Amino acid sequence: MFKIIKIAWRNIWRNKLRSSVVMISIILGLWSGLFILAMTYGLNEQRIDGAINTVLSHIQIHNPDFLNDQKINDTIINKEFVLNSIKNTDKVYKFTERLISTGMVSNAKGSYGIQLTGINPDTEKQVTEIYSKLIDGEYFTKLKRNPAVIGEKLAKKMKLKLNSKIIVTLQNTKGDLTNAAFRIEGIFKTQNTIFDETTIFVRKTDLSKIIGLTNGQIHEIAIVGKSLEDSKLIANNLKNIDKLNKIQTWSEISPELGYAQEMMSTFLIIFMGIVLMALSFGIINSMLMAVLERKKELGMLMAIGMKKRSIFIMITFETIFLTLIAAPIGLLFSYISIEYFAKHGIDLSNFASGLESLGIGAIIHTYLPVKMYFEVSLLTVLVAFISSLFPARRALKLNPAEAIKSL
Amino acid sequence: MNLTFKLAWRNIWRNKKRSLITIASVFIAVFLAIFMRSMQLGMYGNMINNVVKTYSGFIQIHKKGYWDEQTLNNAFKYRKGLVDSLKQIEGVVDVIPRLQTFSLMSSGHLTKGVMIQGIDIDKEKGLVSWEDRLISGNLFSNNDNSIIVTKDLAQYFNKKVGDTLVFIGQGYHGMSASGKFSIGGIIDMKNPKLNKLLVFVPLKLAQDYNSAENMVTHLIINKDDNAENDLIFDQINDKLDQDHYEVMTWEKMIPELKETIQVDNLGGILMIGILYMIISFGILGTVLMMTEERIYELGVMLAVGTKKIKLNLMLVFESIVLSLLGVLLGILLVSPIIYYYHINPLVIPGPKGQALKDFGFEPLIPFSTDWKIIFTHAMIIFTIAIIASIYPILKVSFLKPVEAMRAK
Amino acid sequence: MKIIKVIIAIIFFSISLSAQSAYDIVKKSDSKLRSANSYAKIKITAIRPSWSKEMVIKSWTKNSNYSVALVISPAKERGIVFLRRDKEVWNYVPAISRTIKLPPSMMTQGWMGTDLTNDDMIKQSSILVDYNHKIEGEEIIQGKNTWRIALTPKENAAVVWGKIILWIDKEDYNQLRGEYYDEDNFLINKLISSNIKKFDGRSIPSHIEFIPEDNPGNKTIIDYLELNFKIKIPEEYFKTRYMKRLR
Repeated sequence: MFKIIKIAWRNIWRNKLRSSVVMISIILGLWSGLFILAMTYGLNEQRIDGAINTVLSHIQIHNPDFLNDQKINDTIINKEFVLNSIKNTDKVYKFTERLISTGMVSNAKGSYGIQLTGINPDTEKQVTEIYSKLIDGEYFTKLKRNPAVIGEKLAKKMKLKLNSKIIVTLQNTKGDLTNAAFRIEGIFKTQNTIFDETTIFVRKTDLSKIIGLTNGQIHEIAIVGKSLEDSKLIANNLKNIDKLNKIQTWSEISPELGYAQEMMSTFLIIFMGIVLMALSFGIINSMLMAVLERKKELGMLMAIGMKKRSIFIMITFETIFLTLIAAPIGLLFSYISIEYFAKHGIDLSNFASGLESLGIGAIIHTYLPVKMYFEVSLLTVLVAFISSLFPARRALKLNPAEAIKSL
Repeated sequence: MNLTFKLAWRNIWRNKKRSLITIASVFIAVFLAIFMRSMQLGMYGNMINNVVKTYSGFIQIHKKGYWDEQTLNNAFKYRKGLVDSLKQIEGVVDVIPRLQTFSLMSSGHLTKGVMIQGIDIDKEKGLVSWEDRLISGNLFSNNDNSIIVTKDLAQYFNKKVGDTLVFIGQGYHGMSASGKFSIGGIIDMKNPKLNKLLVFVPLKLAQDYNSAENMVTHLIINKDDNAENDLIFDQINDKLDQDHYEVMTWEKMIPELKETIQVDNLGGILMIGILYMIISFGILGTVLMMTEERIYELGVMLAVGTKKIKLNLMLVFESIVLSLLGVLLGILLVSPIIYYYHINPLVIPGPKGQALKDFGFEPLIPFSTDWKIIFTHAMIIFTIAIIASIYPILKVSFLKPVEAMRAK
Repeated sequence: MKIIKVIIAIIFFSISLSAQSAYDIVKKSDSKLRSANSYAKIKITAIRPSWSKEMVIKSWTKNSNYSVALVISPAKERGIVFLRRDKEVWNYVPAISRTIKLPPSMMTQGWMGTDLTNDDMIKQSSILVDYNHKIEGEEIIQGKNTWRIALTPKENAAVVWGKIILWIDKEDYNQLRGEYYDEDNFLINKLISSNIKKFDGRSIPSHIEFIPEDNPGNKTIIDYLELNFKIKIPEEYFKTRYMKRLR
């Protein structure tokens, strides 16, 4: 048995050309498959991350009635209790409280509907990254009186600059209309232009005075855990403690994000299937050639007494060896390229102007969870192995006598 | 020349197995490429159809300036003559009028801003299945005085079929608009934002409410699924006075969809590219090995006096014939399959399919039978095969007959 | 020496007595229309490049925070009532027998198709409270001597204007002209008043044109057909439940 394996090993080096062709096919198949997977994962991660770091966070808590119509009096129930529970919940990393009020913003040029979000800048910075996405101005560090931080789209629409004045019209707790003036302290830009167009950040302390919620009531709590995967766990823990407020994970708030991931994985499966099929075919093709080409030699081996089973094993092992050499090389190339582009990103700005509006950004950083390396390699090796069986079987059908005749 | 071709032909049939293997590698390439591309393009087409029909329609006609300032004062008169002339354009199935405006909807202490769409329901049914949206009550008919409300609105106001709602707003040319209507039906638009926003009203009723007799804000073109949008767009532009009207395609109105597809398409092309890479390798490998195997025979031919050019020509012929056969076989076998999935789209099962359904779309992938796909990929692969044949030609060009014969 | 000081002091004293501050001028001008009660019958014309609309309304005002307006014509809108109580605006529509309170989104929209917004109607009195006033000079407008007064918003005032310039005539304290600028000093709105008539003993411009500068071809014209200051207005006119009974 060992001898056969040795022969198989030597055989692959005898015809360097053919062996290289097979190995290169496997390397390419593996590399391209893994790279595309990494690109897709990276794309999706970025999309999700973009949304989570600016708008969604991992978990949000609201008064269940508030979600329907954002009525100002539907504040979070038992706020102190909820906040304490959050502090004591496992895996919670940071959280922040917000006041939310919908109304109109005006200047001399016109008025538009917006949402005013009252925040605590210090805790907010720990939960979202908007403070790092300023294109101009500061994030609640300079202006003393009624500072506002707005999105670039809104600034453009209303022709606002730093220090411009805006008037907001809101309803207070009594249902009366109330106005207040704010000055622009900073302008941010996220990947979500609709968010940039309709959200104005102000200090919670300023907003609470205007709308009349001065007992510390809040409308929204946003929580981040140490990692995204912990979201569901944290949510469930909280749901056990707080039965009154509505606790949602990011995927419940924005199902389209989760859905996009689903669609991608479906396609990847189909794609991998096709790639593997092509690969398999290439291997069968090559190994078949190898068998036919060595008709005489194999015939002779059989004539001198080598068992058919041994021949079968020999050919199978040839393929296995080729795969075992090619696969690690393919893995190595994949790993290097994926890591490189993970750091430097692939610049697609020439091709897809649409990526920005989708909240992705034109530079994609590849990313591949480690288990995918294993899964894809395993699959490739399996396919290669199964592909080898057909030519190996074909070898068995060779008739020794016929084979010798062609000598 | 004739001789060379005859030789090539006979070579092919002489070694059936070898030829078959070559044909097979070309065939599988063509098959897989066309299969994958047909699936991708079919899916995009379907996605476009679904989203466009639900939201904007393929082409919209407005009064010039409406898109930038979507107010009722930018409505225009519905002219039957114009509509009939538009219907004559080939591919146009129907021209659907709408009157759209914002108003306040009120009941008890609750007031909310909503978008009222005055529609001709019989024509709208040609775009989207209204029966699928209906969750209670009935769809109105064009002469009714009842309205259709989306489900979240009904819930907010705590109303059911038969209840009344009041509307107040700004009508045409500054006239106040006000009306009291009863709910005839409640629908689910399958989109949370739309479900909180829309109210549908028979067109005539909307025109009355807004003091906008015989006026519309939109004319929506419903076209044949297979008709070319751009062609119809051009013909419409020819028929309309550019100073008074603006015509827009869905690409202009929902650019996000076009961009999503672009991005996806990019990925798709990348995938096809990779497929081609693997395929090319397959073909190249096959050709390589063929050549190696025939070194002896080729050497003999040279030794016997065949000119190298003739030999190369022969190899080229063999390549062409084999590739052609592979391509034809591929097309032959893939066509019925994509045709079948065109008529009976592939169903996306399980939770992924359900996710699509939740968005109001059918979980289907219909394959595209655009002949351009078949032609393009067949040509590409044919070309690849021919290019691959450069190797044997090169080999022959540098071949020393004596060495070749020794390599038996 | 002492005498000179006294004389100077007296001169200053009398000057300051006779000179009015800009604030006073504006206040006096503003209160011509706004003090106590008034009844007016007003024709409002909204002009657009391609259409125009004329309305006649009856309006009762009780000081600057309460006013109610009843639409008389056109026929389709007859009976519609707008009631302003402080910061709230209510709207009654007879065709559907409903009274609703206008939400913030409606406040910034054009009122009944004109260039004025509901917000404008409410904000009028802020001209005194929210601005600093300064006399910039004197000009002759429509043949009358006027003060040209510049108003700049106070630091925390919730007003959209960067600057307002009013020309107030020295004789009758009417605002003959107003220019409204945004924060970047672009002229946004113009208000021109003319055709001074005597209403109930007061001289008041009966023709007011409101011109939005960035919408050429647009104009809103207000004509006072009747204006009565000696009228007694029942309290209930300013209650929401009375809206449907207003005649």
